[in-house]
Amino acid sequence: MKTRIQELRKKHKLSQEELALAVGVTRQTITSLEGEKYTSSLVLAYKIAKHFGMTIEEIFDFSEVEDE
Amino acid sequence: MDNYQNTLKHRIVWILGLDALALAVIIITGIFGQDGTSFTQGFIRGFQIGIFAGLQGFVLFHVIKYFFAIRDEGKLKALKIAENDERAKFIRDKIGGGGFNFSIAGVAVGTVAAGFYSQTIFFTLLTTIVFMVLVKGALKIYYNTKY
Repeated sequence: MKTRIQELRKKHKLSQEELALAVGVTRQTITSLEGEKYTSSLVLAYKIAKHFGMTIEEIFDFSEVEDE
Repeated sequence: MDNYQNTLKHRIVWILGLDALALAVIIITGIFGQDGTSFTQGFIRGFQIGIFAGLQGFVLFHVIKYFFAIRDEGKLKALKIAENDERAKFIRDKIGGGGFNFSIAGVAVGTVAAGFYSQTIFFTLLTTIVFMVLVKGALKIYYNTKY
């Protein structure tokens, strides 16, 4: 699933490790999310959205899901 | 975080308890076990001692890790995150999780025990455990790369 996590992380000048620590996951999970290899759970998506002060839909691209 | 600290303390007690049991078994079997001078019997005995030595290394590593984590808030948080990471849990579930590890441990115990009674059964179980470990390793690499 496409996300804006990398874009937002760089905008906020955060490292992957810092973001991972803030949302309670490992750096590898953030790497996988940014690489579009792994789709986060609802809880993690909420934590990431809350961390950036945005909604889930503004960060995660659901267009592929809507096309199905 | 206090709950997790208590969890680690209980784990240390459990690990050391099981380790004491394994130590008792290896000492008793060393005293009362069958003596043998053939290469095969030496190999079997070496495997049994090797499993025990590996277990000691495992116990020492984890007890030290938990000990330092209990005393350092940063390490405690990092350990908790690593253990509860959702992607890691997802991959563990894909591989077969705790059930698969339990099966490997069970076959390992059976292999050690069989070494005292039957060489045929020992080598059969040894082959089985090598296969299971290779399968788990391959799956772990595959899913860690995929996700």
